[in-house]
Amino acid sequence: MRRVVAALALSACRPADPPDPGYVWDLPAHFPVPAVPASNPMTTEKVTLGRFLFYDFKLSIDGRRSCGICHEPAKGFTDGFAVAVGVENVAHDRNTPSTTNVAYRSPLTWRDPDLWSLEEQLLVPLLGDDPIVEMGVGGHEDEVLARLRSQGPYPDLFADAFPDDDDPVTIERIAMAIAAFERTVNTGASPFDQHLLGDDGAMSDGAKRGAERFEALGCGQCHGGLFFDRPIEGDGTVAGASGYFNTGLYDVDGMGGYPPNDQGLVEVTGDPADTGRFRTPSLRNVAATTPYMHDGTTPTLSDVLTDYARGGRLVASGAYPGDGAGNPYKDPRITGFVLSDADRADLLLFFDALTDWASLEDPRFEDPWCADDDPRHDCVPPIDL
Amino acid sequence: MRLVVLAAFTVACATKTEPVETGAPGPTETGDPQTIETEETEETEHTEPVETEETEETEETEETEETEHTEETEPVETEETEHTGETDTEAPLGADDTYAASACALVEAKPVAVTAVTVERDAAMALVLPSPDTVYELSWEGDGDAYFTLMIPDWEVTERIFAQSGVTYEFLSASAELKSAEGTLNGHCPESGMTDQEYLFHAWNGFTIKVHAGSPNPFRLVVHQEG
Repeated sequence: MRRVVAALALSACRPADPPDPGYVWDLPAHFPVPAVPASNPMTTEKVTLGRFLFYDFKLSIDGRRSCGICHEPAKGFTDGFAVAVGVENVAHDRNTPSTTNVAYRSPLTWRDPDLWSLEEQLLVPLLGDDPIVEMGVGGHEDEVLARLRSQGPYPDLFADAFPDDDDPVTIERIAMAIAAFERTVNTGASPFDQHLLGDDGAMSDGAKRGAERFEALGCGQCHGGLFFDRPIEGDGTVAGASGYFNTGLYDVDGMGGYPPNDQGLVEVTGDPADTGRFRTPSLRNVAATTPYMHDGTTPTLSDVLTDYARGGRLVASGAYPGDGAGNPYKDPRITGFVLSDADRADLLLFFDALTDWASLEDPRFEDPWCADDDPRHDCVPPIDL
Repeated sequence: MRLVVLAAFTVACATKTEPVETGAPGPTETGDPQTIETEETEETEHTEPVETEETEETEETEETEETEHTEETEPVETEETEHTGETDTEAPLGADDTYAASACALVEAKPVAVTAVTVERDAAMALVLPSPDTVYELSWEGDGDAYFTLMIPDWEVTERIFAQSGVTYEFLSASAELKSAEGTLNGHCPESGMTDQEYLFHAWNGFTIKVHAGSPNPFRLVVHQEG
């Protein structure tokens, strides 16, 4: 198992973007150097600026949201909600994905196969209003930029990060800095990683059995590679990008329908066969990122296993009842399996072993606005709105 | 008896408008059950088919009864208020209670329809968010328990939960802290039978709420965040 995973990890980078040799990465030993766009080379100063911005509430129009509030370290850089909630208290259609190891993720988001750039993706929550207003800066860019030009440590941080710019405080530069910080949030010291690096005692016997069961059940066909987010090709290699699969979560009309507000890849491609297809998420830190699935409607990992074991989820009530097991667009490999209580317990131990709990408290990734003993809600930088 | 009558009146109001369909999805835990008066299981069945003309007649009849009984209920409110302790001094009361006044104003507004689920693990498929201008109408299949998720996207906040009289519910979460007494009838619109509960939430999260069997189905719900 160790050999397979390590070999497959090498294919995780997008070929078009070479690794950045000019930056001293502090990576887990078995992680490749991430691909970085040539237009946004890594620098320590940029990462520092990006870290302050990532956790700063000034980046939302009403001072109630930051990137880090919805990508909270303690929750595996997710928010714990089923779906994200924007500044106007409107629910998003989809669950907040983790930003750990996002430097290796491609493409980004749940259902957009064309979105590969972190710099571009950042603009969606920052400025966008589709499907909801998230941080609400769109149309108020000047107001937010004025805050950054005049408040806190930003004049110096921007000048250090972008020394060639006359006025570096721009939306583009904000996105570049946050993307640079995000590329450093790499977690790879889980018990599974330690096992991979040779520590046979790092994983419990149950977790090891769970890993074997995971492979035997075929879970790794979609959750393959070092980050457990790539499909395995016919020749056994890991695909260059994440796949999109319909896992039989819904069948609202007996014809493969998904909830009308969130139908998956079909909304981009227009191909009915793409109905209900969403990008495979990474399983790293999965025990910390409850709830699960693209819309956060599966509360526990045990529930996830239940649904896969029956070959699709049965939704018995509510607005979207139906038996996902019968969804005609469901991936043909999801046929169900027998899952004993012992298997379930072992698989859950394996998922826990994929979680790098210590990294979720790594000082390098913490909110720089927080003193060590501050409760979470006090970690708010001074804001003059 | 009064609650029965008042709730029936509320239902009549509620049926004046068609709910707006929404999709809706949040997370879980256990403890702190809170209960609101449940006397009017019966009139739940009158819920759907009340027409506008009938409503007028109903109002007349029930207003009379209501008036007769209003005095009887006053002491109940007083008692509850006395039990509340901390809340009495913190919550804005009377004419200054803009949250309660706003909730009352919403009772007859066009509701946002939420289809609750009857399986706890699916509670994230039915989402409710605090909103100063939204009244939700929750409904579900059958006459058993129902579940939905209340999403609280803020820290250390107090939420006022106004539910239609007769609804009994509990938070399946230990971290929702009840501040007010149980079953307080909203003093701003006693004729609507809306009850008023006040909860403190320490951290943002989705909270699964179980609506007990026997509650009116559908029922109206308003959630206002203080501050």
